[in-house]
Amino acid sequence: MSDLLDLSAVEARAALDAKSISATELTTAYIAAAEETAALNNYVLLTPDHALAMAAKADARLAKGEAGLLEGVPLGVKDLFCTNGVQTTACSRILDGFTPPYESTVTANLWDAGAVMIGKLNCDEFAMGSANETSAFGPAISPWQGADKTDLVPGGSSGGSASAVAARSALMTTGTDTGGSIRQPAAFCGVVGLKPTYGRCSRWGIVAFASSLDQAGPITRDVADNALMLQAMASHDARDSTSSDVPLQDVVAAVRQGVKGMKIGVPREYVMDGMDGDVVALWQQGQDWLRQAGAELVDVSLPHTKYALPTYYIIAPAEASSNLARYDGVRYGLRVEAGSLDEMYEATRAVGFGEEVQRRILVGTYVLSAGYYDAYYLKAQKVRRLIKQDFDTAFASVDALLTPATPTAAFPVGRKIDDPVVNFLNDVFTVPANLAGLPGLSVPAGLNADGLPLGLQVLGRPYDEASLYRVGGVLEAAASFTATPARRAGGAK
Amino acid sequence: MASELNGILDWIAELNEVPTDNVEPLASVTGHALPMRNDMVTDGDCVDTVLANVPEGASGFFVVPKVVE
Repeated sequence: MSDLLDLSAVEARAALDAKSISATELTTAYIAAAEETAALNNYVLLTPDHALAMAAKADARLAKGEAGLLEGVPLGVKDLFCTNGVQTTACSRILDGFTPPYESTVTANLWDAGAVMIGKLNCDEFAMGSANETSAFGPAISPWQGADKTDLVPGGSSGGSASAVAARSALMTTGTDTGGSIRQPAAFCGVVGLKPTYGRCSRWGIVAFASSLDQAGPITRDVADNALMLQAMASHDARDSTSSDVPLQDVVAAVRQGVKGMKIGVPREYVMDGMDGDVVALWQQGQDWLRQAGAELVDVSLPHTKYALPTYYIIAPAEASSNLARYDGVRYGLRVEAGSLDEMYEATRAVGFGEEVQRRILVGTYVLSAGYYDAYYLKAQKVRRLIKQDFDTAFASVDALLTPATPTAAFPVGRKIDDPVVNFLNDVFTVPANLAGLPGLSVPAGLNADGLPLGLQVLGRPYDEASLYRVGGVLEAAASFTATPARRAGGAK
Repeated sequence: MASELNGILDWIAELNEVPTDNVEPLASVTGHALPMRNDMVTDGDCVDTVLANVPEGASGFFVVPKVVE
């Protein structure tokens, strides 16, 4: 069985096409893997019957030679994507018992491509968090372990998604990224995560957090799998008015294209207090790898970088406070009965939303309120433009940027921090790409002194995912990251 | 929570040091105008689907506590 789990998605597809394995065998192995690693709490719902039915259909299409791009590939779905007839909660009590009567565009694309759904994955409540600790289902845990075998966070908000790929309980998973929620957990778990260009993947049917920042993307074991999954996920969708019709490049070919002749920028402002020395060293190592592969490394400046986090923590809560106004106990989800209509709203939202979500709704409502709108929200929108202009200027002279993915490696579950601002710093290197709408790729590139994975991030021009995969492919080959976590399926107990 | 919120508000006030006098606010990064569609009904006749997840419903309606005295 563990042989089946060793295959990447590209390898599994080849084996399925060659009829040396069946989709049913592969799916059965992944269901068993998910059950074996249940203690990691990655899945909030397993759908084995559904998975086996999909696998049987995949086998039938394979037999007829009608295989799709992801035919027979076992895949996990972040519980933020609406799945027709399958519970979807955004890991919040307020969506307790919600069963969507429709399918998100991204998951529909994946099923059309032949992928098999293993289950729904844990995440931070409404994708608000960087450690998967705000989930109503309890924290997801990384298959990597700290000193003395302490439990580590998988990152967040797509923590269950990244942890499941690392634990081999899904071959690939969907994530969403509003401020780093794909790239940061991918880095913490030693897997590959892409936040595509804003507009590349449809937001239709995904529970909304901050609509001008949210973007769905793939989390996979390697860079080639990632490009394959993006190709299946991305589409122009009339039901999302911000969806783009710019054609996707040949991203699968880009992975092996190399970086000869590319200009790669290194932003001098991406150095901060509290960064691990190992992260700084890895960043330098990454630059050396790219230079040796024929790229030209260029020093660039993104002067407004330090303002990205405070800008994000105005815009994201503002949009969230509007988006989450819909949860009122009337049409779906949780309802807590109380005397009057207003009291019913209050009781429902007080019980249904967790602390972090309530905090962000309060901040968002405050910065949008009449007396403070100009001072906070409008100001943040202006600074957002300056941040985007920094990138526009940089990309006039370079093809991509290389940065660390996170300032540190993963930290222990339950780490107590009184100041929420300290937790926000996890996202310091990832947030700017969301504000500017740029694609960003996180690639595992090394281990720190404690043996925990670290990632490098590649940022690119809008709609130029191909350049990210060119750089990512070179980094992956140079790093030859083969370390695996102890608590993976089939791993040493 | 009050002290945490004050901490967040103090922190985001950092933006005041950025000069933005002649900067237009940025609301969308797509760079294209929102597409228009024909003004016609594309969905409907699905009351049961709409009410499938309702916490309390009756006769094809959502039910809420009494709001008119």
